[in-house]
Amino acid sequence: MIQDFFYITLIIFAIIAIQSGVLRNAIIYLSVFSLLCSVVYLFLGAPDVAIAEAVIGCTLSTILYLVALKQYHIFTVYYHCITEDVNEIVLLKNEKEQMKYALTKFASSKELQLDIINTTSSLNVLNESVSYDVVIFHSKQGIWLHGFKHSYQYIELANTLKAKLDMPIHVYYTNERDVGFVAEE
Amino acid sequence: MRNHSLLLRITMGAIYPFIIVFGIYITVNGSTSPGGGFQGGAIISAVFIVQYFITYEKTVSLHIFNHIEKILYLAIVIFTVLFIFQFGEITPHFIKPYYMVIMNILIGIKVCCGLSVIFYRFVLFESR
Repeated sequence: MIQDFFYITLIIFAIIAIQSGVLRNAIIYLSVFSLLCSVVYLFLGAPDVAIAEAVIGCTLSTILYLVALKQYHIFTVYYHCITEDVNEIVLLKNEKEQMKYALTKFASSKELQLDIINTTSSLNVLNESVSYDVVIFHSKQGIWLHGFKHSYQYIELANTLKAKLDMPIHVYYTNERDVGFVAEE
Repeated sequence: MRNHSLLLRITMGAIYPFIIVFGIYITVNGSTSPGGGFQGGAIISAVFIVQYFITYEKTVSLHIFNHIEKILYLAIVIFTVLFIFQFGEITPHFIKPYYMVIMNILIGIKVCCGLSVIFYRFVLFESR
């Protein structure tokens, strides 16, 4: 009875991992699949293989996959909405949705994984503490984009946003020397 | 990437010794219970991975790991050959468990070094 339950969940997680559109979620589903797999090995009377599967399949390979994904195709966008007024936030929300839609379109055309993070820190703090591709400051007057000059995706993104959105967009380039985590290398 | 999560640091620091003890237990008892050199070594190598997540810096020397791995490979081969030359087909019964434990420990350290090298190589050099 319990074995049947595990077999069925195994198949379900395998299908979810294949069908999942977001790569990071697919990796987590794969990790759960490995864990269930090791339990099934235990039921089938192979504890040795179960330990190996739990250690290698569930832990090490998941970490390696996550590290690889983090370094590769993730496009990190920090979004900062500069306003204190509640009424303004409601107005800006509509524009934010438009911008999100444009960003998603851009990311799917380039096969990037979009990662939008809301923040309230200033650009200097972000430069020192995190690694990002684009920082977006949004207020009633328009949009300020900050990114790296050598990243050609940033220039394309700025052009796409300029074409698609009908609000004033200011594009700025951050010098890579100023950023803490790059200079550390 | 400079700011380390305090939660992660404290939790992992507390788990640290348990990982080492569990890995050693699995390695040494591999001959009589589930487990073995490979599994134990993989668990011990998790210590170095955790260390990376705590400090985000390269605190271990990959050259030393590489050398240890090569030396252990040689040691495994030499130990096996010497064992066979010494006892041949008439192996005394009481010696066999010791042989298994020693082989498990050697393989465990080798696997630990190998997986740590793979992980650090992957994270630090192949990333950019």
